[in-house]
Amino acid sequence: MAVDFVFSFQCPEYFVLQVTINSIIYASEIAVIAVGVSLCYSILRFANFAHIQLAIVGGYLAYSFATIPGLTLPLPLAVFLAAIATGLIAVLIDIIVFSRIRHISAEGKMIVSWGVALFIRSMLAAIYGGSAKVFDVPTEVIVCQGGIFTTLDITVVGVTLLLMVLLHVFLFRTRTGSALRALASNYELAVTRGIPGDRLIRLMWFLSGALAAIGGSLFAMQTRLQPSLDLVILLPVFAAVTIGGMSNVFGAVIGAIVLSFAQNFLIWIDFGSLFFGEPWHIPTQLRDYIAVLALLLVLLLKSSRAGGEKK
Amino acid sequence: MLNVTDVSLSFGGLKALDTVSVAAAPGAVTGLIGPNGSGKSTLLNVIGGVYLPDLGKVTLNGQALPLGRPDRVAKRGVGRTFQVPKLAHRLTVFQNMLAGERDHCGESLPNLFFRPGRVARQEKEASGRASTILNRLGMYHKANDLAGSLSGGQQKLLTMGMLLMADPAVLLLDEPAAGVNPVLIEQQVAFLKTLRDEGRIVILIEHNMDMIANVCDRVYVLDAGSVIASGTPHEIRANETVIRSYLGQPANTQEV
Amino acid sequence: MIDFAIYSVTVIAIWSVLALSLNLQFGMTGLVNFGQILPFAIGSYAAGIGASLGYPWWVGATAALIFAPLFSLAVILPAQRLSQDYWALITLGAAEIFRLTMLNTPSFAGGADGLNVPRFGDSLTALYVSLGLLAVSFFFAERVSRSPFGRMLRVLREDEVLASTLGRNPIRYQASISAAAWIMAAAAGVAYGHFSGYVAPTSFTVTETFIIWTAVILGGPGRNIGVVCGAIIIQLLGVSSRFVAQWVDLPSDLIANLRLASFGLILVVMFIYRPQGLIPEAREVHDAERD
Repeated sequence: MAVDFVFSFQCPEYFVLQVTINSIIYASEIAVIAVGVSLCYSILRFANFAHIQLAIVGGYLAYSFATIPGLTLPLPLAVFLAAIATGLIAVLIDIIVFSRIRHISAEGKMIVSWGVALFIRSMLAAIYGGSAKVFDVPTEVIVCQGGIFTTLDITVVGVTLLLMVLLHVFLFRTRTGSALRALASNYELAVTRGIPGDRLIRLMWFLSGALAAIGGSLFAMQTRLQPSLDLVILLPVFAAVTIGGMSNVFGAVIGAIVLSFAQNFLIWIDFGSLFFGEPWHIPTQLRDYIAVLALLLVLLLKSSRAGGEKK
Repeated sequence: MLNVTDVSLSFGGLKALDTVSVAAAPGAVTGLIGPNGSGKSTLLNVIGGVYLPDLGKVTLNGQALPLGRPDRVAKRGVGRTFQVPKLAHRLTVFQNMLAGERDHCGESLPNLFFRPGRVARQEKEASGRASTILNRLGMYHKANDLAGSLSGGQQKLLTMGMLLMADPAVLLLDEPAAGVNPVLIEQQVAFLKTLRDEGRIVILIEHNMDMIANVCDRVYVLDAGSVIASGTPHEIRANETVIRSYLGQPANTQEV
Repeated sequence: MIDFAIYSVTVIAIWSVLALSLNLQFGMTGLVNFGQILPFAIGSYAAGIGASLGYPWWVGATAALIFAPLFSLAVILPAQRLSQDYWALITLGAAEIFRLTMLNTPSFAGGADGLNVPRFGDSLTALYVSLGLLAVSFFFAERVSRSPFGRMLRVLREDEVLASTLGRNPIRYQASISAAAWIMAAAAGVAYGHFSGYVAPTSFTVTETFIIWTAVILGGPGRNIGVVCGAIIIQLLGVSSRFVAQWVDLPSDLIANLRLASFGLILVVMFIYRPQGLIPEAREVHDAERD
């Protein structure tokens, strides 16, 4: 989870710079995972909680590819293979589970996705054990204009940017991408116009699984890999997706950025000095509160706008 | 008297209703006709409180209805059916009927435990009425069937029955005859006339022109969100504009 | 062995109450509560905090029964008029927030180490209290299920717009059934606190919520006796896994994980092949003779 250590000795404008850097890094980690949730919601219209587990699966696969004796692939290759494998796992889950329940209510699908999540999580814990694994990432600290970050941070942000650009090009510049968008805006209509719904749904699962795996690997490299990492990722990702409007893929990216900046700046601001004369910060552990509060705030806004109209 | 005064409503950029005014008298059936997408159902949704209009108001006997709050509008004695019947599909026909009971004291948790006698009494009384109405609709033998297992026509009859449980002063009916077999249609026409004769306000959306001519006292024609004509069914049939915009294509519009 | 039986029945009774509570919310009303563990946690923590402040047990219990319904309203009111996706997210978030708060306030709630709660005098007392609680909850849930109130809850589950065109304000029904269901779950939490003698954040994670969900989906959403059976099966799987661990000589945490995986599998398989559950919802039959 980014760099939490450097606030003590610089002057205020450097603080702002540093907090901005931290926010960008954290936003990148969240965004890659969040877009997959949005992608799924936009086409299948349900909140897929199993997506978080796909991210963790991706992390564990990358870890395995990079560390299993005799395999020890270089990390980028390991992550790439993990992404493909996780994408295939996502497609497999669709074939075994979700394709059979296309007709049931969104609530039903959401509950099933929890069942899938519970299954994956427990199997991961059974296979890998509950203890933390740490990626051995060679990283250097860089000090630039007073801002501090690591080479790993640069990789995280760079990979995220690259993926987002690729996703954008895919969705908006290719025929398949626009077919996917057509499915998202009106499934029935798109299918009657001859768009192969089922095949594209499989593609969507592959994409979101692969993105989840990369996001999960990046997240795990920054912290550590553990089955309980899901609880750390869950709230910020779903908060980001909700802020972005659930079914809007790049909305989720904006959501991740907004959330990350809100979290980092709120924790950085010295509310104590502002209001009571004594320094006091929101403790860093309360990050997730900010995620949930942001979620609540967005929902309250939605709820008041939904007032009386449609359903 | 139910008065819709200068109601306008847009969805996004689309004007669904444009300064629509409609008056419906008690003891009469008021028909709404017009091509698909002309705003008939939207108007019914406004009166029923489902949509909040951008402008305009709806009054019942001189008092404004609390638009945008379907539950409160219903409490004022406005009942409505939907084009696609809304029912609790996994409950029986009889349970659906009982759900139509107005102000049921058994729908409060404290009453259930502290005044069970009163709850039982109202339930028994409501059951009696539900049986009577089901008999009147010729559906009593279906009482213990699941509502979801009924045919489309029967579902429409059932939603009418649920409305009647609440004894509404105003009935808003959205295509009660569409997809219903001719025998049931005749039954419905007879039924509508009884409701009218009981002094209720009935507003009816219908594509079946025979039914309109048969039961309506006054007809409003909507097109693209505006009222383009109104009058008795006879006058409407003779109206040039209406013929051009709507009645001119009987093949498409006479759905039965 | 008899001790183990008493222990198992107590655990089953407590989890059955949680399943009944979720059934009132989801099975009957269609409210997707992904934070069902929250009222349970409120109950346990009220017992623990009350005890740590030196109050007698009934102070904690009373606080639990007051706070739980207030929390339910705080959670449900913002979500009104929103679809069940959002209601799920809000309840999930609320439960996590509560757990994190307990985790991050060591001076008040014991932090990660948790709090000690005075145990019931003996295991039989725990058994009787839990069974009594289950009996009361079951009676309540059955009364609601067969009442006009329960009927309107089911109408809401099927179609909220229908309920409002029949003159009902959906939120009134949703709020009162949640408040009642959360009181039930909080009472189970208080009993659990005094039964286990210890409360800690690890007992109240999302996973626990899904154990309750599995029981409800397995047993039959909408059917009280069904969800109790579901809870019995799930908890029997839970307690029996200890024996399995001894017999097959596998590490107990591996067995625990496989057990959880089997719950996930049950949830998915039931939804695909038998969504009505083992004991499906009964249809309320009208008896013409009674008219």
